[in-house]
Amino acid sequence: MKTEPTSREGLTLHHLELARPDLKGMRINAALSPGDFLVVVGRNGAGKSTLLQTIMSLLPPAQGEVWLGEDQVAELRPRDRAARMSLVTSTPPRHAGITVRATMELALRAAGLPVDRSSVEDGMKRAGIAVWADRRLDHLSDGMAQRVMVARAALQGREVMVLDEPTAFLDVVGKEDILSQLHHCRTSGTIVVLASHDLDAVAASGAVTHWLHLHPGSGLGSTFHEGGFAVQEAREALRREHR
Amino acid sequence: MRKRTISAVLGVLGAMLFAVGLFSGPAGLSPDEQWTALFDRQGVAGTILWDLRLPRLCMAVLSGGALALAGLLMQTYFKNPLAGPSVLGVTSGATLGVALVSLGGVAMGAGLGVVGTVAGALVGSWAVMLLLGAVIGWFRSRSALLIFGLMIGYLTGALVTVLQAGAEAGALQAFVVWGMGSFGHASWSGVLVLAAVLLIAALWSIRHRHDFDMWMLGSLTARSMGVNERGLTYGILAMTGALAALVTAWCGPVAFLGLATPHLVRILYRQHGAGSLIAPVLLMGMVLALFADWTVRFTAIPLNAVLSMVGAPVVLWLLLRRSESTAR
Repeated sequence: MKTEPTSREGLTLHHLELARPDLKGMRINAALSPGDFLVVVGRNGAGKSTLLQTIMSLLPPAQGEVWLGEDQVAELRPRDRAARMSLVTSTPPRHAGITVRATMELALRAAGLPVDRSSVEDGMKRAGIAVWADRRLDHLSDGMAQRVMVARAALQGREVMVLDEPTAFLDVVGKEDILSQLHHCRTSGTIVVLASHDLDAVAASGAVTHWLHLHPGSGLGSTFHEGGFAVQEAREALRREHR
Repeated sequence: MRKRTISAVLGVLGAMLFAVGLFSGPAGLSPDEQWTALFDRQGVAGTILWDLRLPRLCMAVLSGGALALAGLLMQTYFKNPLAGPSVLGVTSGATLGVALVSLGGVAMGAGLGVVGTVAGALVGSWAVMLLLGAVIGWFRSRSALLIFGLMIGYLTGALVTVLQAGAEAGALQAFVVWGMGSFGHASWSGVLVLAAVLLIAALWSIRHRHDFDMWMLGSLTARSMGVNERGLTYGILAMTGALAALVTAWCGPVAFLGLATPHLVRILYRQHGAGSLIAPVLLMGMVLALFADWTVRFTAIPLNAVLSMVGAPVVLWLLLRRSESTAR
Protein backbone atom coordinates (compact mmCIF):
# COMPACT_ATOMS: atom_id res chain seq x y z
CA MET A 1 0.00 0.00 0.00
CA LYS A 2 1.28 3.43 -0.90
CA THR A 3 1.99 6.03 1.73
CA GLU A 4 -0.16 9.06 1.20
CA PRO A 5 1.54 12.38 0.61
CA THR A 6 -1.24 14.60 1.99
CA SER A 7 -0.44 16.14 5.32
CA ARG A 8 -3.39 15.61 7.60
CA GLU A 9 -5.05 18.38 9.52
CA GLY A 10 -7.66 18.70 12.22
CA LEU A 11 -11.34 19.51 11.78
CA THR A 12 -12.81 22.25 13.95
CA LEU A 13 -16.44 23.30 14.33
CA HIS A 14 -16.34 26.76 15.79
CA HIS A 15 -19.52 28.24 17.31
CA LEU A 16 -21.46 26.60 14.51
CA GLU A 17 -25.17 27.36 14.27
CA LEU A 18 -27.25 25.60 11.63
CA ALA A 19 -29.33 27.50 9.10
CA ARG A 20 -32.67 25.93 9.93
CA PRO A 21 -35.22 28.03 11.80
CA ASP A 22 -36.13 25.33 14.34
CA LEU A 23 -32.47 24.74 15.20
CA LYS A 24 -31.76 28.35 16.04
CA GLY A 25 -29.64 28.80 19.12
CA MET A 26 -28.07 25.36 18.98
CA ARG A 27 -24.34 26.10 19.16
CA ILE A 28 -21.95 23.37 18.11
CA ASN A 29 -18.28 23.27 19.04
CA ALA A 30 -15.99 20.39 18.34
CA ALA A 31 -12.32 19.79 17.65
CA LEU A 32 -11.07 16.63 15.99
CA SER A 33 -7.58 15.46 15.15
CA PRO A 34 -6.49 13.08 12.39
CA GLY A 35 -7.66 9.57 13.21
CA ASP A 36 -10.58 10.72 15.36
CA PHE A 37 -13.96 9.10 14.92
CA LEU A 38 -16.96 11.25 15.85
CA VAL A 39 -20.48 9.88 16.16
CA VAL A 40 -23.30 12.39 15.95
CA VAL A 41 -26.40 11.30 17.84
CA GLY A 42 -29.76 12.99 18.25
CA ARG A 43 -33.48 12.41 17.87
CA ASN A 44 -35.16 12.57 14.48
CA GLY A 45 -35.14 16.17 13.30
CA ALA A 46 -32.34 17.17 15.69
CA GLY A 47 -30.31 18.45 12.72
CA LYS A 48 -27.86 15.62 12.13
CA SER A 49 -28.12 15.72 8.33
CA THR A 50 -28.14 19.51 8.34
CA LEU A 51 -24.99 19.50 10.46
CA LEU A 52 -23.20 17.06 8.16
CA GLN A 53 -24.09 19.06 5.07
CA THR A 54 -22.98 22.22 6.83
CA ILE A 55 -19.65 20.62 7.68
CA MET A 56 -19.24 19.75 3.99
CA SER A 57 -20.21 23.35 3.18
CA LEU A 58 -23.08 22.11 1.01
CA LEU A 59 -25.34 24.22 3.23
CA PRO A 60 -24.31 27.60 4.62
CA PRO A 61 -24.28 27.91 8.43
CA ALA A 62 -26.39 30.55 10.17
CA GLN A 63 -23.29 31.42 12.17
CA GLY A 64 -19.85 30.10 12.96
CA GLU A 65 -17.26 28.35 10.87
CA VAL A 66 -15.89 24.96 9.93
CA TRP A 67 -12.12 24.77 9.70
CA LEU A 68 -9.96 22.10 8.16
CA GLY A 69 -6.48 22.88 9.45
CA GLU A 70 -5.73 26.43 8.40
CA ASP A 71 -8.52 26.57 5.81
CA GLN A 72 -12.10 27.55 6.28
CA VAL A 73 -14.09 24.86 4.43
CA ALA A 74 -16.60 27.37 3.04
CA GLU A 75 -13.77 29.18 1.30
CA LEU A 76 -12.29 26.11 -0.37
CA ARG A 77 -13.07 25.70 -4.06
CA PRO A 78 -15.50 22.78 -4.46
CA ARG A 79 -12.91 20.75 -6.37
CA ASP A 80 -10.28 21.34 -3.70
CA ARG A 81 -12.71 20.47 -0.95
CA ALA A 82 -13.66 17.27 -2.79
CA ALA A 83 -10.01 16.21 -2.69
CA ARG A 84 -9.92 16.52 1.09
CA MET A 85 -13.44 15.76 2.32
CA SER A 86 -16.02 13.25 1.17
CA LEU A 87 -19.66 12.54 1.90
CA VAL A 88 -21.74 9.35 1.97
CA THR A 89 -25.52 9.78 2.09
CA SER A 90 -28.03 7.37 3.58
CA THR A 91 -29.48 6.27 0.25
CA PRO A 92 -27.22 4.33 -2.10
CA PRO A 93 -27.40 5.31 -5.77
CA ARG A 94 -30.07 3.23 -7.46
CA HIS A 95 -30.06 4.60 -10.97
CA ALA A 96 -26.36 4.78 -11.80
CA GLY A 97 -25.42 2.18 -14.38
CA ILE A 98 -21.66 2.67 -14.14
CA THR A 99 -19.51 -0.15 -12.83
CA VAL A 100 -17.91 -0.31 -9.39
CA ARG A 101 -14.54 0.25 -11.04
CA ALA A 102 -15.81 3.34 -12.88
CA THR A 103 -17.19 4.67 -9.59
CA MET A 104 -13.78 4.36 -7.99
CA GLU A 105 -12.25 6.14 -10.99
CA LEU A 106 -14.72 8.98 -10.47
CA ALA A 107 -13.48 9.29 -6.90
CA LEU A 108 -9.93 9.81 -8.15
CA ARG A 109 -11.14 12.37 -10.70
CA ALA A 110 -13.10 14.24 -8.04
CA ALA A 111 -9.97 14.29 -5.90
CA GLY A 112 -7.93 15.59 -8.83
CA LEU A 113 -5.69 12.53 -8.66
CA PRO A 114 -4.36 10.63 -11.68
CA VAL A 115 -6.72 7.81 -12.62
CA ASP A 116 -4.37 4.85 -12.55
CA ARG A 117 -5.32 1.24 -12.38
CA SER A 118 -3.33 0.38 -9.28
CA SER A 119 -4.93 3.07 -7.07
CA VAL A 120 -8.36 1.83 -8.13
CA GLU A 121 -7.45 -1.81 -7.49
CA ASP A 122 -5.88 -0.94 -4.12
CA GLY A 123 -8.95 1.05 -3.08
CA MET A 124 -11.26 -1.81 -4.02
CA LYS A 125 -9.11 -4.40 -2.27
CA ARG A 126 -8.90 -2.36 0.93
CA ALA A 127 -12.69 -2.14 1.00
CA GLY A 128 -13.17 -5.78 0.05
CA ILE A 129 -15.22 -4.92 -3.02
CA ALA A 130 -12.76 -6.03 -5.70
CA VAL A 131 -14.91 -9.05 -6.58
CA TRP A 132 -17.68 -6.72 -7.77
CA ALA A 133 -15.34 -4.54 -9.85
CA ASP A 134 -17.19 -5.01 -13.12
CA ARG A 135 -20.72 -5.13 -11.78
CA ARG A 136 -23.11 -2.24 -12.33
CA LEU A 137 -24.04 -0.14 -9.29
CA ASP A 138 -27.75 -0.47 -10.05
CA HIS A 139 -27.40 -4.24 -10.07
CA LEU A 140 -25.94 -4.35 -6.54
CA SER A 141 -28.00 -4.73 -3.39
CA ASP A 142 -28.32 -1.65 -1.17
CA GLY A 143 -25.74 -3.04 1.23
CA MET A 144 -23.22 -3.75 -1.51
CA ALA A 145 -23.81 -0.39 -3.18
CA GLN A 146 -23.34 1.40 0.13
CA ARG A 147 -20.03 -0.37 0.73
CA VAL A 148 -18.95 0.82 -2.69
CA MET A 149 -19.96 4.36 -1.77
CA VAL A 150 -17.90 4.22 1.42
CA ALA A 151 -14.94 2.89 -0.55
CA ARG A 152 -15.49 5.66 -3.08
CA ALA A 153 -15.48 8.26 -0.31
CA ALA A 154 -12.35 6.77 1.27
CA LEU A 155 -10.53 7.01 -2.04
CA GLN A 156 -11.71 10.56 -2.70
CA GLY A 157 -11.61 12.73 0.41
CA ARG A 158 -8.83 11.25 2.48
CA GLU A 159 -8.70 13.81 5.27
CA VAL A 160 -12.34 13.84 6.38
CA MET A 161 -15.14 11.38 5.68
CA VAL A 162 -18.65 12.52 6.54
CA LEU A 163 -21.35 9.84 6.60
CA ASP A 164 -25.06 10.39 7.06
CA GLU A 165 -26.54 7.15 8.38
CA PRO A 166 -24.84 5.02 5.77
CA THR A 167 -26.13 1.86 7.40
CA ALA A 168 -29.78 2.92 7.58
CA PHE A 169 -30.97 0.48 4.91
CA LEU A 170 -28.59 -2.37 5.72
CA ASP A 171 -28.84 -5.68 7.52
CA VAL A 172 -26.64 -6.66 10.46
CA VAL A 173 -23.77 -7.97 8.37
CA GLY A 174 -23.89 -4.95 6.06
CA LYS A 175 -23.66 -2.66 9.09
CA GLU A 176 -20.68 -4.50 10.50
CA ASP A 177 -18.92 -4.40 7.15
CA ILE A 178 -19.33 -0.66 6.79
CA LEU A 179 -18.27 0.06 10.36
CA SER A 180 -15.14 -2.05 10.09
CA GLN A 181 -14.38 -0.30 6.80
CA LEU A 182 -14.65 3.04 8.64
CA HIS A 183 -12.53 1.74 11.49
CA HIS A 184 -9.86 0.99 8.95
CA CYS A 185 -10.07 4.52 7.48
CA ARG A 186 -9.73 5.97 10.95
CA THR A 187 -6.63 3.97 11.78
CA SER A 188 -4.99 5.25 8.60
CA GLY A 189 -5.49 8.83 9.79
CA THR A 190 -8.81 9.91 8.31
CA ILE A 191 -11.23 11.90 10.46
CA VAL A 192 -14.59 10.12 10.39
CA VAL A 193 -17.82 11.96 11.19
CA LEU A 194 -20.77 9.59 11.33
CA ALA A 195 -24.41 10.29 12.07
CA SER A 196 -26.21 7.18 13.24
CA HIS A 197 -29.19 5.81 15.10
CA ASP A 198 -27.47 2.46 15.43
CA LEU A 199 -25.93 3.16 18.81
CA ASP A 200 -25.17 -0.48 19.63
CA ALA A 201 -23.58 -1.31 16.31
CA VAL A 202 -21.49 1.86 16.44
CA ALA A 203 -20.38 1.17 20.02
CA ALA A 204 -19.58 -2.45 19.18
CA SER A 205 -17.25 -1.38 16.39
CA GLY A 206 -14.91 0.05 19.03
CA ALA A 207 -13.79 2.73 16.63
CA VAL A 208 -15.42 5.77 18.17
CA THR A 209 -13.26 8.34 19.93
CA HIS A 210 -15.71 11.24 20.30
CA TRP A 211 -19.44 11.76 20.27
CA LEU A 212 -21.67 14.73 19.77
CA HIS A 213 -25.20 14.88 21.09
CA LEU A 214 -27.55 17.31 19.33
CA HIS A 215 -30.50 18.36 21.44
CA PRO A 216 -31.99 21.55 20.07
CA GLY A 217 -34.48 23.40 22.23
CA SER A 218 -33.14 21.99 25.48
CA GLY A 219 -31.16 25.06 26.38
CA LEU A 220 -27.80 23.38 26.05
CA GLY A 221 -27.98 22.85 22.32
CA SER A 222 -25.24 20.32 21.84
CA THR A 223 -22.81 18.36 23.95
CA PHE A 224 -19.41 17.29 22.73
CA HIS A 225 -17.94 14.29 24.51
CA GLU A 226 -14.31 13.35 24.22
CA GLY A 227 -12.87 9.91 24.84
CA GLY A 228 -14.89 6.98 23.66
CA PHE A 229 -18.54 6.39 23.06
CA ALA A 230 -20.60 5.60 26.14
CA VAL A 231 -23.63 3.99 24.57
CA GLN A 232 -25.55 3.80 27.85
CA GLU A 233 -24.93 7.45 28.57
CA ALA A 234 -25.97 8.40 25.05
CA ARG A 235 -29.17 6.41 25.32
CA GLU A 236 -30.00 8.02 28.67
CA ALA A 237 -29.29 11.47 27.29
CA LEU A 238 -31.59 10.87 24.33
CA ARG A 239 -34.32 9.59 26.66
CA ARG A 240 -34.09 12.63 28.94
CA GLU A 241 -34.90 14.97 26.06
CA HIS A 242 -38.35 16.51 26.25
CA ARG A 243 -39.47 17.24 22.76
CA MET B 1 -12.84 -3.35 -28.46
CA ARG B 2 -16.52 -4.14 -28.75
CA LYS B 3 -17.25 -0.44 -28.52
CA ARG B 4 -14.91 0.41 -31.40
CA THR B 5 -16.23 -2.35 -33.62
CA ILE B 6 -19.82 -1.24 -33.15
CA SER B 7 -18.90 2.39 -33.75
CA ALA B 8 -17.09 1.43 -36.94
CA VAL B 9 -20.05 -0.60 -38.19
CA LEU B 10 -22.42 2.26 -37.37
CA GLY B 11 -20.12 4.71 -39.11
CA VAL B 12 -19.99 2.62 -42.28
CA LEU B 13 -23.75 2.11 -42.17
CA GLY B 14 -24.29 5.84 -41.77
CA ALA B 15 -21.96 6.65 -44.65
CA MET B 16 -23.76 4.12 -46.85
CA LEU B 17 -27.18 5.54 -45.98
CA PHE B 18 -25.87 9.02 -46.67
CA ALA B 19 -24.50 7.96 -50.07
CA VAL B 20 -27.71 6.14 -51.00
CA GLY B 21 -29.71 9.19 -49.99
CA LEU B 22 -27.49 11.45 -52.01
CA PHE B 23 -27.36 9.42 -55.22
CA SER B 24 -30.82 7.97 -55.48
CA GLY B 25 -34.25 9.50 -55.81
CA PRO B 26 -37.26 9.93 -58.02
CA ALA B 27 -35.53 12.36 -60.40
CA GLY B 28 -34.00 9.55 -62.47
CA LEU B 29 -30.59 11.12 -62.81
CA SER B 30 -27.81 9.00 -64.26
CA PRO B 31 -24.77 8.23 -62.08
CA ASP B 32 -22.52 10.26 -64.40
CA GLU B 33 -24.78 13.30 -64.21
CA GLN B 34 -24.86 13.13 -60.42
CA TRP B 35 -21.14 12.63 -60.07
CA THR B 36 -20.30 15.70 -62.20
CA ALA B 37 -23.07 17.76 -60.56
CA LEU B 38 -21.64 16.95 -57.15
CA PHE B 39 -18.51 18.89 -58.07
CA ASP B 40 -19.64 21.58 -60.52
CA ARG B 41 -23.09 22.18 -58.99
CA GLN B 42 -24.46 22.93 -62.49
CA GLY B 43 -27.82 22.26 -64.05
CA VAL B 44 -30.88 20.45 -62.75
CA ALA B 45 -28.77 17.69 -61.22
CA GLY B 46 -26.71 20.29 -59.39
CA THR B 47 -29.83 21.90 -57.96
CA ILE B 48 -31.30 18.57 -56.90
CA LEU B 49 -28.10 17.44 -55.22
CA TRP B 50 -27.06 20.71 -53.62
CA ASP B 51 -30.38 22.35 -52.80
CA LEU B 52 -32.56 19.35 -52.03
CA ARG B 53 -30.73 16.17 -51.16
CA LEU B 54 -27.62 17.43 -49.38
CA PRO B 55 -29.34 19.86 -47.01
CA ARG B 56 -31.98 17.23 -46.31
CA LEU B 57 -29.38 14.60 -45.46
CA CYS B 58 -27.35 17.04 -43.38
CA MET B 59 -30.50 18.06 -41.54
CA ALA B 60 -31.32 14.40 -40.85
CA VAL B 61 -27.81 13.74 -39.53
CA LEU B 62 -27.79 16.82 -37.32
CA SER B 63 -31.35 16.37 -36.05
CA GLY B 64 -30.69 12.76 -35.19
CA GLY B 65 -27.56 13.68 -33.27
CA ALA B 66 -29.27 16.63 -31.60
CA LEU B 67 -32.35 14.74 -30.40
CA ALA B 68 -30.32 11.76 -29.27
CA LEU B 69 -27.98 13.98 -27.26
CA ALA B 70 -30.93 15.89 -25.81
CA GLY B 71 -32.46 12.57 -24.80
CA LEU B 72 -29.28 11.40 -23.10
CA LEU B 73 -28.87 14.70 -21.26
CA MET B 74 -32.46 14.63 -20.03
CA GLN B 75 -32.29 11.00 -18.96
CA THR B 76 -29.14 11.87 -17.03
CA TYR B 77 -30.39 15.06 -15.44
CA PHE B 78 -33.73 13.64 -14.36
CA LYS B 79 -32.09 10.27 -13.50
CA ASN B 80 -34.96 8.78 -15.43
CA PRO B 81 -34.49 6.33 -18.29
CA LEU B 82 -37.83 7.25 -19.81
CA ALA B 83 -37.10 10.96 -20.13
CA GLY B 84 -36.74 12.55 -23.52
CA PRO B 85 -37.63 15.80 -25.27
CA SER B 86 -40.89 14.47 -26.69
CA VAL B 87 -41.92 12.55 -23.55
CA LEU B 88 -41.44 15.42 -21.10
CA GLY B 89 -43.29 17.96 -23.22
CA VAL B 90 -40.31 19.96 -24.45
CA THR B 91 -41.17 19.24 -28.07
CA SER B 92 -44.81 20.14 -27.29
CA GLY B 93 -43.66 23.47 -25.89
CA ALA B 94 -41.69 24.13 -29.05
CA THR B 95 -44.71 23.11 -31.13
CA LEU B 96 -46.92 25.56 -29.28
CA GLY B 97 -44.33 28.27 -29.87
CA VAL B 98 -44.30 27.52 -33.58
CA ALA B 99 -48.10 27.40 -33.69
CA LEU B 100 -48.37 30.78 -31.98
CA VAL B 101 -46.12 32.30 -34.63
CA SER B 102 -47.37 30.50 -37.75
CA LEU B 103 -51.08 30.15 -36.92
CA GLY B 104 -51.74 32.79 -34.31
CA GLY B 105 -49.65 35.30 -36.17
CA VAL B 106 -48.11 36.71 -33.03
CA ALA B 107 -47.51 40.31 -34.08
CA MET B 108 -43.74 40.16 -33.98
CA GLY B 109 -43.23 36.73 -35.46
CA ALA B 110 -45.61 36.84 -38.40
CA GLY B 111 -43.38 38.88 -40.66
CA LEU B 112 -40.20 37.16 -39.64
CA GLY B 113 -40.70 33.84 -41.43
CA VAL B 114 -38.25 31.19 -40.34
CA VAL B 115 -36.63 33.39 -37.70
CA GLY B 116 -40.04 33.77 -36.07
CA THR B 117 -40.60 30.02 -36.14
CA VAL B 118 -37.22 29.36 -34.56
CA ALA B 119 -37.77 32.04 -31.92
CA GLY B 120 -41.21 30.64 -31.12
CA ALA B 121 -39.83 27.11 -30.80
CA LEU B 122 -36.97 28.29 -28.56
CA VAL B 123 -39.25 30.24 -26.23
CA GLY B 124 -41.68 27.32 -26.04
CA SER B 125 -39.11 24.62 -25.29
CA TRP B 126 -37.12 26.71 -22.83
CA ALA B 127 -40.32 27.57 -20.99
CA VAL B 128 -41.08 23.87 -20.56
CA MET B 129 -37.47 23.07 -19.57
CA LEU B 130 -37.55 25.82 -16.93
CA LEU B 131 -40.85 24.51 -15.63
CA LEU B 132 -39.44 20.97 -15.44
CA GLY B 133 -36.33 22.24 -13.69
CA ALA B 134 -38.47 24.13 -11.19
CA VAL B 135 -40.82 21.28 -10.30
CA ILE B 136 -38.36 18.37 -10.32
CA GLY B 137 -37.94 18.60 -6.55
CA TRP B 138 -41.67 18.10 -5.97
CA PHE B 139 -41.82 14.70 -7.52
CA ARG B 140 -40.84 11.78 -5.32
CA SER B 141 -41.55 9.14 -7.93
CA ARG B 142 -40.06 8.94 -11.36
CA SER B 143 -43.34 8.25 -13.08
CA ALA B 144 -44.83 11.47 -11.69
CA LEU B 145 -42.40 13.49 -13.79
CA LEU B 146 -43.45 11.59 -16.90
CA ILE B 147 -47.12 12.19 -16.16
CA PHE B 148 -46.30 15.86 -15.69
CA GLY B 149 -44.68 15.89 -19.13
CA LEU B 150 -47.67 14.11 -20.61
CA MET B 151 -50.02 16.71 -19.14
CA ILE B 152 -47.90 19.52 -20.58
CA GLY B 153 -48.32 17.75 -23.90
CA TYR B 154 -52.11 17.70 -23.52
CA LEU B 155 -52.27 21.33 -22.45
CA THR B 156 -50.13 22.60 -25.31
CA GLY B 157 -52.02 20.27 -27.64
CA ALA B 158 -55.29 21.88 -26.57
CA LEU B 159 -53.92 25.38 -27.15
CA VAL B 160 -52.61 24.33 -30.56
CA THR B 161 -56.06 22.98 -31.45
CA VAL B 162 -57.61 26.29 -30.48
CA LEU B 163 -55.13 28.08 -32.72
CA GLN B 164 -55.80 25.63 -35.53
CA ALA B 165 -59.55 26.18 -35.29
CA GLY B 166 -59.09 29.87 -35.86
CA ALA B 167 -56.39 29.66 -38.49
CA GLU B 168 -56.80 30.32 -42.21
CA ALA B 169 -56.72 27.34 -44.56
CA GLY B 170 -53.26 27.92 -46.07
CA ALA B 171 -51.48 28.39 -42.76
CA LEU B 172 -53.35 25.43 -41.29
CA GLN B 173 -52.31 23.12 -44.10
CA ALA B 174 -48.68 24.19 -43.82
CA PHE B 175 -48.81 23.62 -40.07
CA VAL B 176 -50.30 20.14 -40.40
CA VAL B 177 -47.67 19.12 -42.95
CA TRP B 178 -44.95 20.52 -40.68
CA GLY B 179 -46.43 18.54 -37.79
CA MET B 180 -45.95 15.23 -39.60
CA GLY B 181 -42.23 15.83 -39.38
CA SER B 182 -39.75 15.85 -42.22
CA PHE B 183 -36.09 16.55 -42.78
CA GLY B 184 -37.02 17.69 -46.28
CA HIS B 185 -37.86 21.32 -45.50
CA ALA B 186 -34.22 21.98 -44.68
CA SER B 187 -32.29 25.01 -45.84
CA TRP B 188 -28.54 25.51 -45.68
CA SER B 189 -28.94 28.29 -43.13
CA GLY B 190 -30.90 25.95 -40.88
CA VAL B 191 -28.26 23.28 -41.29
CA LEU B 192 -25.51 25.70 -40.33
CA VAL B 193 -27.29 27.03 -37.24
CA LEU B 194 -28.14 23.54 -36.00
CA ALA B 195 -24.59 22.35 -36.72
CA ALA B 196 -23.16 25.19 -34.65
CA VAL B 197 -25.50 24.59 -31.71
CA LEU B 198 -24.97 20.82 -31.82
CA LEU B 199 -21.22 21.32 -31.86
CA ILE B 200 -21.38 23.57 -28.79
CA ALA B 201 -23.70 21.17 -26.95
CA ALA B 202 -21.55 18.14 -27.82
CA LEU B 203 -18.32 19.81 -26.71
CA TRP B 204 -19.94 21.06 -23.51
CA SER B 205 -21.29 17.59 -22.76
CA ILE B 206 -17.96 15.90 -23.39
CA ARG B 207 -16.26 18.42 -21.15
CA HIS B 208 -18.71 17.60 -18.36
CA ARG B 209 -18.96 13.85 -18.97
CA HIS B 210 -17.58 12.92 -15.54
CA ASP B 211 -19.94 15.36 -13.86
CA PHE B 212 -22.84 13.47 -15.46
CA ASP B 213 -21.68 10.19 -13.93
CA MET B 214 -21.20 11.84 -10.54
CA TRP B 215 -24.69 13.35 -10.86
CA MET B 216 -26.12 9.85 -11.35
CA LEU B 217 -24.72 8.89 -7.93
CA GLY B 218 -27.13 11.42 -6.39
CA SER B 219 -27.30 15.22 -6.39
CA LEU B 220 -25.85 15.62 -2.91
CA THR B 221 -23.06 13.13 -3.57
CA ALA B 222 -22.27 14.91 -6.84
CA ARG B 223 -22.03 18.26 -5.07
CA SER B 224 -19.76 16.75 -2.43
CA MET B 225 -17.58 15.51 -5.28
CA GLY B 226 -17.17 19.06 -6.54
CA VAL B 227 -19.89 19.19 -9.21
CA ASN B 228 -21.34 22.65 -9.72
CA GLU B 229 -25.04 21.80 -9.47
CA ARG B 230 -26.32 25.12 -10.75
CA GLY B 231 -23.95 25.17 -13.72
CA LEU B 232 -24.88 21.61 -14.65
CA THR B 233 -28.61 22.29 -14.31
CA TYR B 234 -28.66 25.46 -16.36
CA GLY B 235 -26.29 23.94 -18.89
CA ILE B 236 -28.46 20.90 -19.47
CA LEU B 237 -31.70 22.90 -19.49
CA ALA B 238 -30.30 25.40 -21.99
CA MET B 239 -28.65 22.81 -24.26
CA THR B 240 -31.53 20.36 -24.44
CA GLY B 241 -34.05 23.18 -24.85
CA ALA B 242 -32.09 24.68 -27.73
CA LEU B 243 -31.45 21.35 -29.48
CA ALA B 244 -35.07 20.23 -29.26
CA ALA B 245 -36.36 23.66 -30.32
CA LEU B 246 -34.14 23.98 -33.39
CA VAL B 247 -34.96 20.49 -34.62
CA THR B 248 -38.66 21.12 -34.03
CA ALA B 249 -38.61 24.46 -35.83
CA TRP B 250 -37.13 22.99 -39.01
CA CYS B 251 -38.30 19.39 -38.99
CA GLY B 252 -41.52 19.43 -36.96
CA PRO B 253 -42.10 17.67 -33.63
CA VAL B 254 -39.94 14.59 -34.23
CA ALA B 255 -40.98 11.71 -31.98
CA PHE B 256 -39.03 9.00 -30.13
CA LEU B 257 -35.50 9.62 -31.44
CA GLY B 258 -34.47 11.35 -28.22
CA LEU B 259 -35.97 8.74 -25.95
CA ALA B 260 -35.06 5.57 -27.81
CA THR B 261 -31.53 6.25 -29.08
CA PRO B 262 -29.71 6.21 -25.70
CA HIS B 263 -31.37 2.88 -24.89
CA LEU B 264 -30.33 1.30 -28.17
CA VAL B 265 -26.79 2.47 -27.44
CA ARG B 266 -26.88 1.02 -23.92
CA ILE B 267 -28.06 -2.33 -25.24
CA LEU B 268 -25.61 -2.48 -28.15
CA TYR B 269 -22.54 -1.12 -26.37
CA ARG B 270 -23.35 -2.73 -23.00
CA GLN B 271 -22.41 0.56 -21.34
CA HIS B 272 -24.73 2.04 -18.77
CA GLY B 273 -23.05 5.17 -17.56
CA ALA B 274 -23.82 8.64 -18.85
CA GLY B 275 -20.53 10.25 -19.79
CA SER B 276 -19.17 7.38 -21.85
CA LEU B 277 -22.33 7.32 -23.97
CA ILE B 278 -22.12 10.82 -25.44
CA ALA B 279 -20.20 10.01 -28.62
CA PRO B 280 -21.97 6.69 -29.33
CA VAL B 281 -25.35 8.33 -28.76
CA LEU B 282 -24.53 11.09 -31.26
CA LEU B 283 -23.44 8.52 -33.83
CA MET B 284 -26.43 6.25 -33.27
CA GLY B 285 -28.87 9.18 -33.48
CA MET B 286 -27.39 10.25 -36.79
CA VAL B 287 -27.60 6.76 -38.29
CA LEU B 288 -31.15 6.23 -37.02
CA ALA B 289 -32.30 9.54 -38.48
CA LEU B 290 -30.71 8.72 -41.84
CA PHE B 291 -32.40 5.35 -41.79
CA ALA B 292 -35.76 6.91 -40.89
CA ASP B 293 -35.37 9.46 -43.68
CA TRP B 294 -34.49 6.73 -46.15
CA THR B 295 -37.66 4.89 -45.14
CA VAL B 296 -39.69 8.08 -45.52
CA ARG B 297 -38.34 8.72 -49.00
CA PHE B 298 -38.91 5.24 -50.31
CA THR B 299 -42.27 4.49 -48.74
CA ALA B 300 -43.79 7.99 -48.60
CA ILE B 301 -44.88 7.39 -45.00
CA PRO B 302 -44.48 10.60 -42.92
CA LEU B 303 -41.46 10.72 -40.62
CA ASN B 304 -43.37 10.70 -37.34
CA ALA B 305 -45.38 7.70 -38.46
CA VAL B 306 -42.15 5.81 -39.22
CA LEU B 307 -40.53 6.79 -35.92
CA SER B 308 -43.62 6.00 -33.88
CA MET B 309 -44.04 2.59 -35.49
CA VAL B 310 -40.46 1.76 -34.54
CA GLY B 311 -40.16 3.80 -31.34
CA ALA B 312 -43.34 2.87 -29.49
CA PRO B 313 -42.65 -0.90 -29.45
CA VAL B 314 -39.06 -0.20 -28.35
CA VAL B 315 -40.27 1.85 -25.38
CA LEU B 316 -42.92 -0.71 -24.46
CA TRP B 317 -40.31 -3.46 -24.56
CA LEU B 318 -38.02 -1.37 -22.36
CA LEU B 319 -40.80 -0.82 -19.84
CA LEU B 320 -41.58 -4.50 -19.63
CA ARG B 321 -37.94 -5.53 -19.38
CA ARG B 322 -37.22 -2.92 -16.75
CA SER B 323 -40.10 -3.82 -14.49
CA GLU B 324 -38.86 -7.40 -14.61
CA SER B 325 -35.20 -6.80 -13.75
CA THR B 326 -35.24 -3.76 -11.48
CA ALA B 327 -38.52 -3.45 -9.69
CA ARG B 328 -37.19 -0.75 -7.40
